[in-house]
Amino acid sequence: MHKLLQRLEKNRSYLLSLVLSIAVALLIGAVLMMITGYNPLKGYSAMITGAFGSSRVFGNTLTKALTLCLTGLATAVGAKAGMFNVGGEGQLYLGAVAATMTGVWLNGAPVFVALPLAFLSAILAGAVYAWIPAVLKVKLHVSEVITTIMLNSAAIYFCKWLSNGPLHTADKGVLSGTDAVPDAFQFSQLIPRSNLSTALLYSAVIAFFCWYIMEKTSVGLEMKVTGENPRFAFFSGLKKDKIMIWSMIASGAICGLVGMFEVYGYQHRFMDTISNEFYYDGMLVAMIMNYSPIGIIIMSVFFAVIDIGASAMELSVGISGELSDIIFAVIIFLMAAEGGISRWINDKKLQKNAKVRISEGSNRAAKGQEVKTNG
Amino acid sequence: MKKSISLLVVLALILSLFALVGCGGDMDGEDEALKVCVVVSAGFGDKSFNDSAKEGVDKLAEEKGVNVSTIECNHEGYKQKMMDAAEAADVVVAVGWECYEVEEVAPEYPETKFIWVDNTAEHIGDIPNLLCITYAQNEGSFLAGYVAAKMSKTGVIGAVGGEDSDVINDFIVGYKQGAEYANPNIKVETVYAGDYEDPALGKECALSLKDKGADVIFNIAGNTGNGIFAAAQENSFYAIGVDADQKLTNPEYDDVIICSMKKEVGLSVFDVIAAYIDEDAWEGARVQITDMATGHISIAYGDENSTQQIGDELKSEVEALAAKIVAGEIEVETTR
Amino acid sequence: MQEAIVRFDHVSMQFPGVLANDDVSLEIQKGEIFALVGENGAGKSTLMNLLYGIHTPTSGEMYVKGQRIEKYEPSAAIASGIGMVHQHFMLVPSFTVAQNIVMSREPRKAGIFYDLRQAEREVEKLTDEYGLHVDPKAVVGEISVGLQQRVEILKTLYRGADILILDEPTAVLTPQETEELFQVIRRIVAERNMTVIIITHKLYEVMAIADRVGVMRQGRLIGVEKKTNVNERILASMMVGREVLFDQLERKGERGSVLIDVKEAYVADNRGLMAVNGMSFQVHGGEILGIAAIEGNGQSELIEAITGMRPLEKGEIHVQGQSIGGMTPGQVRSLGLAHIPEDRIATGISVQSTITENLIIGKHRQSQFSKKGIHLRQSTIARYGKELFDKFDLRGAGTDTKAGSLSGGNMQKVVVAREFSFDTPILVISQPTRGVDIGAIEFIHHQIMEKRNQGCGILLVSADLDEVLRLSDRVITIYEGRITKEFQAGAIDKMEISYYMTGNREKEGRGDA
Repeated sequence: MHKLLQRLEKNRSYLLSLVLSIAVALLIGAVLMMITGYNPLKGYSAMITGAFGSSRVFGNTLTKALTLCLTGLATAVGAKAGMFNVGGEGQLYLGAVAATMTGVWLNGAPVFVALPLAFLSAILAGAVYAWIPAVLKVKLHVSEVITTIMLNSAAIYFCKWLSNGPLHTADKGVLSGTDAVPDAFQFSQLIPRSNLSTALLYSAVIAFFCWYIMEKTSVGLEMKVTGENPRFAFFSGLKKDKIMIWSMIASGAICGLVGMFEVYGYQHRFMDTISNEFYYDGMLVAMIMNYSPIGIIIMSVFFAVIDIGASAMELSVGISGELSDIIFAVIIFLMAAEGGISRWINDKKLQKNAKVRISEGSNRAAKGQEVKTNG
Repeated sequence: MKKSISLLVVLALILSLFALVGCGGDMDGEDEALKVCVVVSAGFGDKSFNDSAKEGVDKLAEEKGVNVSTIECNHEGYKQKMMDAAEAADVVVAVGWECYEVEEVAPEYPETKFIWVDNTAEHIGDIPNLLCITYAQNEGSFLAGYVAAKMSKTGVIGAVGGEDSDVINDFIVGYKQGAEYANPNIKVETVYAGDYEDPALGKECALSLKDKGADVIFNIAGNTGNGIFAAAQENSFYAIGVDADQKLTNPEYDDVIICSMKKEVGLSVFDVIAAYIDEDAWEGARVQITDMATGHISIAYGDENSTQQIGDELKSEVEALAAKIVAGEIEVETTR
Repeated sequence: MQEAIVRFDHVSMQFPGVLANDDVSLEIQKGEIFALVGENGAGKSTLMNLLYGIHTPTSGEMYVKGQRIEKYEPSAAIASGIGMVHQHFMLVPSFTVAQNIVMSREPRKAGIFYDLRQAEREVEKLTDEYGLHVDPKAVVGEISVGLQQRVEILKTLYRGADILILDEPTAVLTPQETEELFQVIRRIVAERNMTVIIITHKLYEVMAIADRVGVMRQGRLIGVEKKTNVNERILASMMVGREVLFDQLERKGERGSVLIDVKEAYVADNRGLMAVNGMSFQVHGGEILGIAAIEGNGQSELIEAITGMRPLEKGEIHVQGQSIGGMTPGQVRSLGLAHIPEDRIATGISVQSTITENLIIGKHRQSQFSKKGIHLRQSTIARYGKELFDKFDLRGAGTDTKAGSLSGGNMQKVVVAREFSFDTPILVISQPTRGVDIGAIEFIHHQIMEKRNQGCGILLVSADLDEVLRLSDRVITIYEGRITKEFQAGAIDKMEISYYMTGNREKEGRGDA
């Protein structure tokens, strides 16, 4: 507990900016609600009930939170070592397709064979696809931001082609999707009627490992140093290249698994609509929380509440769902300015202290304590 | 430090206050008005399909005192959002093929009525509280194709479809047939945009068709299609609107939209729910086909303030053909 | 008693986070050479920047030639006759000397056209007047650093300065050029009645040139003395606040076996040109081999090649008998080498990590610090960090402070602490006390000498000639990637070394490589 307080104290101005950003964003949301003729109290209470009001929606909130959390952690794992993975969406798609088709083609096999293989296929799909831009960056200094963005399009269109073409399902009513994963392999529901499946447990394990490795191991320390100053890492004898590549691979693997969880957990098959820019949302959460694993976990829950609650807000009060996007945008905007805000807060504090010291100083001078001068 | 903690605590308290208010205040008690919720898989603002659905329900609110709410899924969480709607409303109108899970949701909420627009559920027969409404867009498109072929000077006409689905192809099939009816040598070029919400993409698709010689282009792509009109204005060709009377919804393009193929989603929903309100009439577990005979599929030319590109003679021809279709004398091909 | 030409009256300057000048009151007399000394961060540059109008003081008043300063702006300062030559020159390399000197006050033909010939004529007149000879038509980027500085001085004179502020003027000069500068200063003060203020931390220069010395420490003016009343030791003590003894460092022990063997090494620089052109030398255990060279003569590339950070093009380098061709820094280190890099911020630390983290890198996988090499033993690491923190007298908030917030001296101590605690037989040390304050310099020099006395072989590169001469057993001078001469410890003449540092080569036995 004491350590927790210490940690909070150290990051004081950052936390203050965070709380301020959220408060301001909610305030702006309230103002917008009032301007358009709605009662903000009703609006926000509808949001909270919409996110927690029943076990079903609570399950949905948790599901959204875990998706955001995992994609955020995937970003963080890469960013810690200085590799910025913007290609998580594509890796997610590939992981989803790989896992789905593994399940479909192994229909009839025992679960303890098919499921681990599905996991493996999702991991490999994401990992290999992330390995490509990683190697390009490390060996040829090609910016991984650019390569991953471009590879995104390639992967997504490829998967869409698969689900509309060779892998298109014969099931009626599904416009662009593959066959459904056999029921025997799908994750069980944790909360009836909600989206929440045992993906929660797997996600918790992954989140724990991410946190553990990044914060508590020598590997995490090496990643941190490599990300902060690659030349220093090289100089100190760390295997900089290997670290950078493996962190990117890990990031891709996690995204692949997110894709698998989307399918096995609730969508049951791979469709064009498997993801709605989930990775980018998670990436944003990671960025505003400075890639801290704990911070990402907490913020994901918060964002999930706003997201799930927003549609309830639209339903019961009539406020457009876009309001949640506005709130997100303000938070992100303000958190991006967090560095400046923190500095501003610090400066104000120091100036106050300095004014005190100067006045003390001139008091001393006035009392005749002059500086010795010779010559 | 203490200040920051207390700030956090205050924030948390405020949030939980909201929750309490929420818990308390949401029992509306016995409300006579019927609650209807429209769930769209994308969002509103396309000036055609989704907006039409909303207009229909708004009309219900106006004329029948119905309590209207909406949910825009924005491409995710369809099943859960339909469940949200079902818990809050008496009638749920689902719009979009992505809402196919309505088949699973409807049985979970037997007290709520479900209307799924523009699609057919596989096991519709087993779900008494679900009604599927499909549309004979091919019939209206036949007339649109006829008009396009007659108005074309190049002998080439075009169509931009939202995606390669049965419904969109139903439009196209009728369109081709109607065009060939007017001019057996007509060439019809089509392209699938793949997106219903990208006007810029629509403009590009239209231009690609124009490059192939098309001088009348049919919009079958929702909001993407609004880009067709921009292209039409800049390059002096004609366009045909869809779902709503787009000479009225897009007045800035009045000079290039020669007519629209109205698919009155909103009115058909209105009819069903109005019947339920007035006569307690509900026939679920079936597919209702809204065709030209019902009047909800037609060709519209704007109103008295609109500029007319089509002459009265052509209009009478169209009317005559419409009568023939309704009478069954002309059978329009379909994908359904 | 003359009226002071510049007067500071209870001047304070507060920047966010630091009180740079704390209630400074000072008078400078017309026609004197005044030296302002202090450690890095003492506030001397800030004080002069105030005079030059770059900042406005938070409180206090300043007077130039009896007039109070109303507006703090460089243009106002220039108008009142103040000229400043900064440490980092503000010249346009592609322009000529004349163009640089007259910049922003160009003579014009008919009010619009730039009259270059007139500019050159005016500059020639100026150089003759002050006896500061430089070719007006020469391109600034192609002349020597010493001449560039001369151009900077001429710039201020062109604007009519009679109060000249020089900020760390000798940082980039060879000993020869420094002597020339001092002659110039003496001349313009004597003949033209100028007032010169020199900001420096090099005490021997103060003793050479100044009339009076002002010592600053932590923003305060500690004292002002006539040069004749002080010596270097007294000044150093005033700067640091305690007794600083520049004693001779004790040397112990015998010279051991060859630890680094460089044979005909060729190393390329970042542009692909050969920076090291066939150098050969050896470093033995128990000795310090110093390399004296002006920046940019291949010593950086040489060090990088020896430590595995840059590939060797031709030739061989053996560390403890093993050839290091193609090795990574990690591999070279495992042969028993530790390295203090010349640029601590870019290469030596991670500014965003804590001090402890910076101290533990390199050892973090040892079993005492991490279970099975993976799980970090946080408390053991924290203890180790604290130990080193105390042992190396680090000053900062604590072991958990981010290394980037430390002063230059403390940052360097972190690097030294880490590298020295690897207890390797070989140490490659580059610019160990650049930007480091006096107290830390002493400490680091003692540490280096102790390692030498324990039998370590040390290769030392430094741009500070005094440091090289103080520490080394042998010194080699380098020019354009070749060794020009080797000196044995003892009385080495600074002028002689300077001669070899600037390109002249020992006549016997060294062919043109």
